[in-house]
Amino acid sequence: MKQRTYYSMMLILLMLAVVLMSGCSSAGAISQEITINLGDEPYTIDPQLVFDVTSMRVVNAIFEGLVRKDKNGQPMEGVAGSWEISDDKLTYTFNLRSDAKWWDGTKVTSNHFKEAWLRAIDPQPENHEPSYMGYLLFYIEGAEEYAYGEGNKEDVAIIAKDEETLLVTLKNPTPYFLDLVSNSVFMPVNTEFYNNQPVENGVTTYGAFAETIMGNGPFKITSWNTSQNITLEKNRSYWNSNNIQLEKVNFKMINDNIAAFTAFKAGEIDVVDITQVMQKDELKKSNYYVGSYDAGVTQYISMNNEDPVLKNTNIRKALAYSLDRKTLIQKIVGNKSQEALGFVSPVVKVEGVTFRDRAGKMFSDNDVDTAKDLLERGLNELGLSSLPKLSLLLDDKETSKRDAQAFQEMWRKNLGVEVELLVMPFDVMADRMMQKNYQLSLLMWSGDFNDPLAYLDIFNSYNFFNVAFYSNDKVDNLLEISIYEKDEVKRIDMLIEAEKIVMDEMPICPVYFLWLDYAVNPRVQNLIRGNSPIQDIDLYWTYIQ
Amino acid sequence: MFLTARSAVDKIKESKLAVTCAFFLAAVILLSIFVPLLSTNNYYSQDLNNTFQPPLTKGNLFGTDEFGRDQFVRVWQGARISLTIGVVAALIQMIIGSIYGGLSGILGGLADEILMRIVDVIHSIPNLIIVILITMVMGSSPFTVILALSITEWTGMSRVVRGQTLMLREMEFVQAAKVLGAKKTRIILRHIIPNCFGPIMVNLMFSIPGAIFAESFLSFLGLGINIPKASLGTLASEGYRFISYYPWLIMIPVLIITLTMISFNVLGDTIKEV
Amino acid sequence: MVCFIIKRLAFSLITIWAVVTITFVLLQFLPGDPFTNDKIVHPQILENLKEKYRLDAPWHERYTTYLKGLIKGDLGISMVYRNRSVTSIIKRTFPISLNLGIRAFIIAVFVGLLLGLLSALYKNKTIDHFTLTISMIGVAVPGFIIGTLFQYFICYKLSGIIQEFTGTTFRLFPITGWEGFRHTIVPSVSLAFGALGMIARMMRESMINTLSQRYIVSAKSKGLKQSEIVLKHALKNAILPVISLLGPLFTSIILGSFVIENIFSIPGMGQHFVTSIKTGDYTMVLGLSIFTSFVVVMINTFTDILYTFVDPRVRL
Repeated sequence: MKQRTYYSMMLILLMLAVVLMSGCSSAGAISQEITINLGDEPYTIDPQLVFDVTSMRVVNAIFEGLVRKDKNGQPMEGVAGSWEISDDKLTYTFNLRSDAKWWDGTKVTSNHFKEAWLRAIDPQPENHEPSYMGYLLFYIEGAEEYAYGEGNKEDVAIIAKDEETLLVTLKNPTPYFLDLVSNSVFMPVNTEFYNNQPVENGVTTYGAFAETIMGNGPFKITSWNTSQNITLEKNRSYWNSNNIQLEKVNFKMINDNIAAFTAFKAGEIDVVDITQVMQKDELKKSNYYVGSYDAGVTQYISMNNEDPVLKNTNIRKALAYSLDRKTLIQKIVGNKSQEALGFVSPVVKVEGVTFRDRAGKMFSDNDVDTAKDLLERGLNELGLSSLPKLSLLLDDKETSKRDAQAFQEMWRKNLGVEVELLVMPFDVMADRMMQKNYQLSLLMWSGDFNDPLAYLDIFNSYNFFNVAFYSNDKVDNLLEISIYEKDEVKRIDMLIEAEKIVMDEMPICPVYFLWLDYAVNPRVQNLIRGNSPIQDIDLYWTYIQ
Repeated sequence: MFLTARSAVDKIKESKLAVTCAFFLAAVILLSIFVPLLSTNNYYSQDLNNTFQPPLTKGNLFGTDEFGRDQFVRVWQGARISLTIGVVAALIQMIIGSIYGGLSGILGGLADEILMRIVDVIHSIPNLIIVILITMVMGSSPFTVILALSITEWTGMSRVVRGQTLMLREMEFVQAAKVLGAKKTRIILRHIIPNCFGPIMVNLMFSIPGAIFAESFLSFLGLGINIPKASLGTLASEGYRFISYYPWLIMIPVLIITLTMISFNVLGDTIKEV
Repeated sequence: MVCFIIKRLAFSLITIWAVVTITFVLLQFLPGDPFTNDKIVHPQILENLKEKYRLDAPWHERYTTYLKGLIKGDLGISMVYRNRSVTSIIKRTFPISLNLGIRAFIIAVFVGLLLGLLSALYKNKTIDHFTLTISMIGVAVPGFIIGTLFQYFICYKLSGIIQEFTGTTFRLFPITGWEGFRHTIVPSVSLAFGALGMIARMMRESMINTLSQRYIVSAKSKGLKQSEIVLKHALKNAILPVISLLGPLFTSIILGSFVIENIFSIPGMGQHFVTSIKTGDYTMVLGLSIFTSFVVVMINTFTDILYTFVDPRVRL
């Protein structure tokens, strides 16, 4: 009896030892798996319907367009292996790769692109919302008319010449068209798959669940647990899958920044956005890599140029000159954001020339004395003895509330101007601005493509997003004829002139060019962030060390 | 026994705890009135070179926040706002509730039944949700918060007053007034309500912390009053973001909310025993 | 008895109708156009959307459509997540909130009853003072404060100390999330705290009351053991007032969960509610409000009916 117990005990101990040791030896294999915090839940992962950065992070990983961005944000071959541009710069011919495949192994054809693009400008979509980003297709001939219900589908100049050739004709020469085409809204749709997806409550479920989407990108989606996580795994059918190193991607949805940061410190996530200076300082003490990138976003205060007080240029300039952007960035924002003394983001580079460098400063920061003078002049012109209380609309974001309180105090201290802060959900704010029912509002503008026009277009009096209701014929003219200028440098100079005129009249007050900080687990290599304003995480080259 | 002011005070004097609470509340009220009034700093002045100072640094007893604003003034300004909203809302609840309850009790019969059924329905509705909805729709100013709180929470008071009214109705002095031909309103105002003083007071002592709680709840969710004005709840919500770096920003407002609510509860309990 | 139940159910239906109508009225006063979002929208798109949602019908038509939809279980479509209905969101998030709520409820009831019982039996001893303090804190301190403090001191500080002590990255009490049993502990306790306080207090009072009753005293004099008296006779009667509290208690737990879920990043209905308020997703807020009110009213009705079964004095 005793002997048997003894032997069985030894056997058990031996087994335990083996188990334990086998557990310890797993140090050899490194799993190519990364966990990233998405933040909020994506609205949808339907490429034609996404409009927010969060959703685009996922779309960018599971879909690929004709063109994609390289590490420096320049267009590079995607599904299109090559392309030709006609001499008059109006017709683009895209040659698709023959080995471009969907997740299920079927071929990606030019028709898939055509159908997707037409979906995006469908004026009366049957079972989904109209596409918000559809306006990016308006550069294509016939697109805008079709979208407004004034033209025919057949007149939209997109031709699927054959399975591997797509022809597009533009309205006007558009130097940044290739950049544009890398946008999510231009990504393909597998029409057979799309038509097979169930429709609930009159809305198609395409893009709403992991099972109801099919992409052609480097990764495929394996699960989507609402409010919790989305998991992706490497797509073996992808034409370049040999060069994709990550095997698995976990997107978590922790929308509280502080909780996300703690999860990062605990090793639960590998990539996190940093929102407080204290977080950065804390990480610097450990071994984490803290990165920074220019988000291509200009924060600005829009002013209603038709308001009885704000119609006066000197008053607007006074408000703009009296802000101390440097201190705001140093003490409040606490990262590499730059004072915006012009509107076009420093991220815009055309043929090696950075617009912002060439254009320079358009006015001075914290120019309180000049501001006071301008205020007085403005008041005289308006026949007022003092400025009535103004109101600033802002949305509910922490950063907006934070910055707005700083502005409020700066205007009070430097100019003696009282401004009331009105916080509201963005929809409500947008509505009021559209109806001209506001004075000041705090907004962020990100360029949809890498060109000065992506920013300056909002000063065109016909532009839908011109919520300052600013109108200057010279500016309109410069913006419109610049696209015909074949010399890129000359074109940039024309646009610089346009910006100068705008800044001289200050219809809006630029505040800062936003940079964002993030922290990465040191094992993660080649994580590219910010190579495009709206696709801010690129996992194409990432691997785990 | 009917509660009078004197008997309430006597009862409070009996308990050390109650006395401490009373003094604490008095201190909070005085500080919230005078500190914002008399202080050299104000609640909105920023000093961006003086941010995140810990408490007890020169010139800033409670430290400073991310804009360098003096927390001492901000906290007592916040207390002023929280107390004002709490007390005003509670008082309006008291008025609405007393009149409604008194009326219901006096009318009696079917009218009483119907009125009380309505109260039951309103009482069953989760009030905080309605408050949230109203603030969402009407915007978040002290006015809308007070309005939302008053509309939804008066039911408790009305039941209490109705109960008292039914009891008092049968009493001699009321019968006498009726016989003498006094109008119903006069009976309510002159005889019933003054004798309800006790239960009304007790209920009030509990409504105030209830209103303060509701307001802090709203502020914490981000539905509170407009920045840069801040109630204690808003301060707690703002401070929460820095809880692991600068804990005083949330701890001090939280402490004051807690102690204030506890004090009201203790006083209410004490008076109840009369 | 049956009469009472029917009356009570009818009453709850009226209450729900009242909530529905109030929310409909509020829906009419919402600021802003429900169809803009983070990007400002083209007018053509706006027109298309408006047509689709039929916002141009007169109010009584909209009211009837609204009511009809509700009866069918259609609570509307989220204005923000436009391919998701409110009902589908509820289906996904309510189980989590329910899970949290039930855990909190169980903790509150068991611990509350136990504390109340003990403090009644050992009146004025340490346990009594302890219970009174806890109940005072639970009743007076807003739930979000308790949650925040627990998260800071227990999840962050305490677990941090344990981490340093054991030299691992193992976090005993995770700060956020809802992925395992350990994740549920601190949130449930935080949520239970307020209700716990009330139950303990009520139980204590009720127990003290019951123990001083004649029949208990006579049982004692007859020589019955203390434990037998307490467990067999006193407990049954002392619990009754506590049962009447259960309805409101559950309500307070549900409301408390809004904030607790927010603080601990728990993907439940409450967190969705708060996020929807912040993003101005009005249809979602209203839909969730109706659902929450419905749950609250049902639970209150249920506990009321339960109370009549349990309390022999109320038996008709």
